Amino acid sequence: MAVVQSVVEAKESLFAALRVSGALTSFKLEDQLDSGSFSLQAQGQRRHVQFSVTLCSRADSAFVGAVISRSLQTSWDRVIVVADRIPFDVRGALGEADISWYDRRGHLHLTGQGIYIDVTVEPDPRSPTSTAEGIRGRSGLAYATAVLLSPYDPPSLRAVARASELSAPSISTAAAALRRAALVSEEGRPLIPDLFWELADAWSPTFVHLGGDLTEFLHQGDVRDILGEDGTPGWALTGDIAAAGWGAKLIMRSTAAPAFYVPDLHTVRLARRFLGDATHESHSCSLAVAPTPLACSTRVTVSSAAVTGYGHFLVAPPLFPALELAGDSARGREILSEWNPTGGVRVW
Amino acid sequence: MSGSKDGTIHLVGVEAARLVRSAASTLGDPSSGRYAIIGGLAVLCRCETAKRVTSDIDTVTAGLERGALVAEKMMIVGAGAPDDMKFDWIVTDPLELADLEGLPEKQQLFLAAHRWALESAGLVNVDVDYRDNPNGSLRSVTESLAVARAPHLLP
Repeated sequence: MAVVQSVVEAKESLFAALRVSGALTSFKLEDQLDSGSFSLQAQGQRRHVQFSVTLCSRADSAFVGAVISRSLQTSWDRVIVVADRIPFDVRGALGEADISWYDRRGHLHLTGQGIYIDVTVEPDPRSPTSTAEGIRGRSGLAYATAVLLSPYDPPSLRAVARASELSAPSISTAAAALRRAALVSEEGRPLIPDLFWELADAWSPTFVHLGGDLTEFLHQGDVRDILGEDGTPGWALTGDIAAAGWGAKLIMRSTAAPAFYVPDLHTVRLARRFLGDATHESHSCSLAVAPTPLACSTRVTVSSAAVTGYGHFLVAPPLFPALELAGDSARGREILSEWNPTGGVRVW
Repeated sequence: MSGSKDGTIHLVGVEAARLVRSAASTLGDPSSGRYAIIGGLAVLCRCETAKRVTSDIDTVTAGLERGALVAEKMMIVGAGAPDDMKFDWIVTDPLELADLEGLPEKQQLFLAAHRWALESAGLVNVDVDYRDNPNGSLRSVTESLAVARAPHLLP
């Protein structure tokens, strides 16, 4: 686990966030405790608080366990974890342990001693390093997706490269970056759920709402020409309907509009020409180019009525609708927390 | 934002089927007026575009004596899991304006709003596209009250 490179840089970043938040009336740096932590004196609205600030690059479950354990053995009023990245599930664990945190991607959560603040602040990423770690670019997305799709029997780098239509060296570089971040083991096994939440942070498909009549569109010719033959990449049902099909406890109306990942922009353009654009209130379906081709090449038949009630579509594996639910910090994550996919692997 | 044209809400899948069956067995006859659905399910019943509604069943239910809860300075809320479905309820008593006198404003609003939600609720017919097509009726709060209580369920 690499610490944040410079205590000075981390201190300045934290101070900037504290100033913007207005949480404290004054604060100053005290002693540097060791290479990865320092103490901070702060004045809240009502009282003086002494913080122990702990730095790291990426706060994972093991790191948080150590911080919690240490916080129980010291006399500090409060502990703040400052990290380049604090995944969603780790934020929850810190909150439960009553430990404050600052994610330098732009979120400050400070509690205790008469203070409560939870705000989005300007992102302040640390200076890039020569040895990048974590998910980087399309190769990073593809490799992270591939190992989460098959966490107990991870695919080879060549297999991922083939399936994701990328070069083997770029996948190899992506895998190395994930290993450096301790998100994937030397054997290629993903750290669960940490890698899922890391991927969720990087997952940002752009869905286009389309109008018209989807059924009519699909019967313009041979429906397999449009959706893609079974066993080949094509339209992959995702979103809440797919999640319900894989057993998520969602109640859906029969009029709900299905969402699909499609292999390329050409497919979106074609559908758009027939169906036209629509608002969220009136759309018949929504389409997004898959962030990685794996979303469209791993689709399968799901016989659940929650899916077949909308038509005969092949469905993306549960990982993909789960990534979308993870992006919804309110209802989506609540649903995700209770969802053990039927016939699929839970990696969140 | 409205119900379907024939006044019936059409749902899909096993979870919806479980919900309709469980609601019927746990909540009883909807025409008795003794409960009203609130929360996500009410938004789904009333609004075409409701999103990410779970199968939890949140209700307001009828207490027996006028103002009794107010007099005892308490509100009854509860939860249960019959048929493996999550139920939450808030009990409301019949109220008159005099019952609210002397209470803090927020408590007045809470009590009056939930009682009004129960009294102004109406029936919604539900059928489910699943095997034996389970169907039934639910008593749901009005569209505006459903949305007021759970606005985050609309896009």
